[in-house]
Amino acid sequence: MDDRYDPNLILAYVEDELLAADRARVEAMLAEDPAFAALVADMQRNRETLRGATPIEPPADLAEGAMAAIERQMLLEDTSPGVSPPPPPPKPFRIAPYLTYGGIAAVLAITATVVFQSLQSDQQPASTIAMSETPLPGQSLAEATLEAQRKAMREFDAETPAAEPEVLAADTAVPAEEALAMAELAERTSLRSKERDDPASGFGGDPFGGDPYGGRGFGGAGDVADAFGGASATARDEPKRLDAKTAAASTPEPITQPPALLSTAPLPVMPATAGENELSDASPLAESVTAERGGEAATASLVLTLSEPETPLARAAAQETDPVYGEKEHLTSLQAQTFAQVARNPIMLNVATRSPERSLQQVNDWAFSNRIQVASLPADFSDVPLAVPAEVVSVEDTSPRPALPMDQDMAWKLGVDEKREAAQHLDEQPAVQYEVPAQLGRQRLQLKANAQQLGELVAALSEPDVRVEPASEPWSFSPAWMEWQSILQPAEVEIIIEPVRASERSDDRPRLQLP
Amino acid sequence: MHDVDESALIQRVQHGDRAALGELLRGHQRRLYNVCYRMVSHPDDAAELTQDVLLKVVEKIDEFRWDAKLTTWMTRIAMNASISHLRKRKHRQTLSLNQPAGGDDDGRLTLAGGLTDEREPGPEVCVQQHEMLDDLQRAIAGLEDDQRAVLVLRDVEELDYLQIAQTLDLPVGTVKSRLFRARLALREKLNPAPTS
Repeated sequence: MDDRYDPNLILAYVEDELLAADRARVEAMLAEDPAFAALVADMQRNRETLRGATPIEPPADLAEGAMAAIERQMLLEDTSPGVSPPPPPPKPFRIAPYLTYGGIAAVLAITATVVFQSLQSDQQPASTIAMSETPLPGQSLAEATLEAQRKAMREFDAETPAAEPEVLAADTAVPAEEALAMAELAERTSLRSKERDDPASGFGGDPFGGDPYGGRGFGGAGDVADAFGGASATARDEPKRLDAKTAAASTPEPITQPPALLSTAPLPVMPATAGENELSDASPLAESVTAERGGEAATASLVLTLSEPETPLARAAAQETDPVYGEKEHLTSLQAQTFAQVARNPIMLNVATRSPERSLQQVNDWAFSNRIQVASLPADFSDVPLAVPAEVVSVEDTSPRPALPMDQDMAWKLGVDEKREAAQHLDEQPAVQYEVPAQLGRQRLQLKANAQQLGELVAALSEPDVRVEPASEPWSFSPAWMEWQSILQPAEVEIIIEPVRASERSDDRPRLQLP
Repeated sequence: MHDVDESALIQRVQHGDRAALGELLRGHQRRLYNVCYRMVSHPDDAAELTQDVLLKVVEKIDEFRWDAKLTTWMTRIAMNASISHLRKRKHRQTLSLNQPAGGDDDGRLTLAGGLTDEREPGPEVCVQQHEMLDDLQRAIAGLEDDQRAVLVLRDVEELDYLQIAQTLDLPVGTVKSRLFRARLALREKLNPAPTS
């Protein structure tokens, strides 16, 4: 197109937007230039052709399709999981925090181990170490254990304040009436013992209470001995001599010391009226036996002392100077442990009941409820007869108890003399003959329980006609941490259910309170 | 459609009236389809583009603030979609130059195919018109995108310069210059100068 023409003017002419004057001027120009006129004519024709074209109808209802697409999209958005926010990108793995935490955990573990080992080394006393030592050649483990217990008792005695025995004596003093009654009983028993020719008896021969294990397992000095020395089998294996000494009738003298303390206390020991053999065979745990044996008629109080051990080994051990004894630095640790724990003996729980079946059932129920396994131990030990009163067994054809196998000791005890002796005293206690045999004999159970469980067991067994006396309470005089440990850690418990006669009251004997 | 009616219709659509939405879309679908068809010169592509334009209208209807006419706003959406489509198929020239009137084998429609004459002209006139429209459509398809957009808006949509400027977001002067160049190019394509 020629540059002489203004494009805007030409466009306006093509678009038919010019006024009449401008339009005339442009038409004059077009008349002068036919080529330019043809160009403008073609542009006008093309414009008119395009504007004259009829609009094309869409092939389908695009609006409906668009709305359907919108609704479909909305439905997909409602149910699509893509509506939920995308999951956060995974965090890159960083090993530094794990190394830090691992290092901290390792340091803590090492520290805890060191502290624990230091505590373990501190809490183990010298006596414990001595007790855990291997027995000397020719010394049995039982003897070694007993020796260790004696050492521990001496140390405990040394640590006990001087005023404490007096307080203990005041608490455990036997009333004068009871002491007199016990003295009378002891006199009768000693008379019977004199009549009985029983030199070979290793048990003291008390048909009623003669139990080398501790006098029917409960009561009196036997309990004290259990409490301080632990009535373990090893302790029982070592026979101790218990001399029952009588004092003046006018001045009843209470039991002032636990037997463990009396073993070293320089108390005056009065000769017993009974034979030495008989007394030596008596168990120090059998308070009733000693009371009956020591029998002076005018006995007003009971003083129990442990005599020197009879076996050479025990005598030598008693005469040996204990280097630990008197060393105050060990007393605290010794105090922290009971003898039962020191010697690793079980906690003894003596149950005197007129219905051993019921007590046994109660123990079983308690064990079942606490999911504790109870093991039944043989009631008759190798060298100890059953605690069946001789009179009862000696009564022929009156016992409804089925025939039980008797060992030689029992058979020996049921000799002619015994029968005769029992027959002579048959009129004294006739009720016993028909009552005890119908009951279950001594039951010896073993289980593991902590302090709380043991308390529950004692509560379960405690009934009006049942007397339950823990032979030892390891945690009773332990420091706080030891008590905590004892409560949490179950200890081995041995329960002896001892049948008693109906005529015998469970609380007719003096009780010694544990410190 | 009057502005007052459009205003009420849009308010109804903005409040979730489905019927109003259908009415609005149906009222503009043919015009939008023709814009798309003149731009892309393919009926299927034009239909697909038109549907996409309608969807965008629905999606953006809440953003419409009456700063322009609704027609201009919709045409702008259609023109942008068409130009984007043309850029995608930049190297594809699908317009058949030898197709019969009313469509070819692959469904393409020519400009003459959509030409209808209610007065039923004679067969010779119809043939001439169809041939002219075919030539014109081919020439339009050969224009540059910006010149084609201005030409389509001006001759097909019959918008004024201001509306074209609003639609293409161009100054009015630019629109005029592009339109003049588009007409010159179209004429050159239809009546090529002798090579002498």
